[in-house]
Amino acid sequence: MSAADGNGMTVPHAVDPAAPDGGEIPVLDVSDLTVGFGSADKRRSIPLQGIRLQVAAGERMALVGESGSGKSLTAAAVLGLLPEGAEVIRGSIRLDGEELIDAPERRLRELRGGRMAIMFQNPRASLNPVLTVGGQIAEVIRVHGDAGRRESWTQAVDLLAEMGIPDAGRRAKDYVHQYSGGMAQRAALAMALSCRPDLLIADEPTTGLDATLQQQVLELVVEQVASRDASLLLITHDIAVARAHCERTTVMYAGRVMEVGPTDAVVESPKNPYTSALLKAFVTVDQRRMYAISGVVPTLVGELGECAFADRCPLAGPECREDVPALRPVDDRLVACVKA
Amino acid sequence: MNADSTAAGPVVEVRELVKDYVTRDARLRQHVARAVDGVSFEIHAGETFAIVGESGSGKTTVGRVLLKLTSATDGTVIFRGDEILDIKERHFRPERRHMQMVFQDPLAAFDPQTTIRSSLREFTRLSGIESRAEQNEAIAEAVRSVGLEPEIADRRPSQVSGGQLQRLSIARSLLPEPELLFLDEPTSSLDVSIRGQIVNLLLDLQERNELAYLLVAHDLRVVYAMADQVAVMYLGQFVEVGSRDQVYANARHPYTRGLLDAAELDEPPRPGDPVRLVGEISEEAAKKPGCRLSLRCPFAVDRCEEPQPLRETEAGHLVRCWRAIEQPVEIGLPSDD
Repeated sequence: MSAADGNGMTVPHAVDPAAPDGGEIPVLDVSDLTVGFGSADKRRSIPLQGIRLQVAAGERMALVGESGSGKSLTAAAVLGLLPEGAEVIRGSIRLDGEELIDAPERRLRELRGGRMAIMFQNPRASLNPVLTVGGQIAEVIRVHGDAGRRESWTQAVDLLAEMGIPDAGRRAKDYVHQYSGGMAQRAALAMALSCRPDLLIADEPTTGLDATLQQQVLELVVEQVASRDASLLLITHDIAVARAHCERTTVMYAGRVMEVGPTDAVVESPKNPYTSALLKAFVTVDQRRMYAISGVVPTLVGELGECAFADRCPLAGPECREDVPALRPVDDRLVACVKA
Repeated sequence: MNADSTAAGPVVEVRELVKDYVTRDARLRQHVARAVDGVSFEIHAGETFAIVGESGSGKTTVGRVLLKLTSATDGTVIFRGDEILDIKERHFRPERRHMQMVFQDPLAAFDPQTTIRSSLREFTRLSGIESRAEQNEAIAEAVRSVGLEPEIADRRPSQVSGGQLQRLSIARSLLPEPELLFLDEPTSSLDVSIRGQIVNLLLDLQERNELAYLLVAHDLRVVYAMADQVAVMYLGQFVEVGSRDQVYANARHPYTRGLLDAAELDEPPRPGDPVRLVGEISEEAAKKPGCRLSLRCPFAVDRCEEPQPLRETEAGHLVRCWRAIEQPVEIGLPSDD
């Protein structure tokens, strides 16, 4: 499969065979997103290399990868919140069809509190510590709608109650440090949903939480997003979490997309050897051993001219070194592997 | 120390361990929080005893008391045949090298300002190696034993990867030739693709050196791969203790069942209905006389507010829940086989 941009990275308009309803414009459509750090010479590090990510209306998409795979940086790029020194080298990010790359900061700010919202790993990062929880949610409602002071407060309390915060009328007057970890994450969800976004990006929203709480919060996120007909982009390192909560999954490794498809299919019959390896690392085996992938994640200096997983892949052959494997349709999904 | 008694008995035996933390509020009123409340277990050479539980359960505190990194409020710890909790630090120091710790964050094990070699050199002194050549020899051997080239020791901690640094911190803990290693979340700072490498290394080292491991972890897959015995801890108490298979494949306590359920494990299969716990851990519940889980448990009834002792449900399998023992079918468990 040839590539238009000359480095063999992405098929420009790879159509995902399993994407729900090809006719509609996706809520989020990221294509060939390439982000670099530092000056444009050979030593520039390129942590995102030709990312393709689509989230359809009402869909729950998981973005799965290890640390350093670029999943959080992808979210930051979508939100227009790239860290200092990072620069979009090429590619496109469309939200409801509107191009966000090079959009003015004023417009991005409008979209961030409006059509897209984020929940971070640390809920205290999304809430202001010196304002009451209810007060700041009410303010978002007031700014983005036409509700008055009293009405926006009532709506904020209702929203907190909907998120399962007991005695919400009283707790709305508390500060976030007075909330337990689980309650704070519920409040952060209320905050994110207060502006009725089309897309909720949840970046490892439950990683710091205990297992029994993790399950409760993720179920709440899924339920609330579904009841609002919004889309969810769930960023996680845990493929078991993706399987439990998302219809579709995008697997990333070393700044590249390795596989995209229906979560069940990806989990049950992975087509990219990296996905297989990642899955095996989550399997509980009845012997005193765990599956280990030898080697380490490559550090990205410049764009590689080969498959990023080739050094660690049990199937790697000379053809894997010739070029970057394009993300191409294979049966019900997209796979970036020449062997698939 | 009595060397003869170490051959047969457990490496370490913990009886009725209690640890209170005393804090003061803004009005200087004293508050006592019981982090560990009457915990007993033993670990034999070559065996792994794992404690699982959520943060706030007290599992790390158990290890820290065991290593005398913090004092105990009550109870006894018998290490290599001798009671150690009452021994003064000055007298205990020669014994300390026999128990080592592997930290969750391997950076905590090394001085960032100096080479890994010079941090490791300190530990060779603990086993009485004074000559520089012999120290380097011991360091090279330890570094090789964790699957790395000895030259890596000349780098600083910031110049190696997280997985390599965790290997080096394991090498560090092995230098004094310990009998007991306290593994405090040894893989939770590592990526999943590296996690298996470290688990397998720890298992190999255990087999080669007959090490006793106390493993504290919340990753139930890691515990499954490593543990011989498992204790599930909730608010300072063990609520279920047994062999790995008893706890994973025949979980009886609603908390254990909820934890296994939430972890989305695909194996081993568990009999009985899935259990959904509601709410979250609250220190207030630790002050109740009865079951500490009752407010979150779907099966709680009045009698659960009476004190709940750990009771045997089958040989070697203990559960702190009267319903799990007397009314298994009513709480969604298959009846006793």
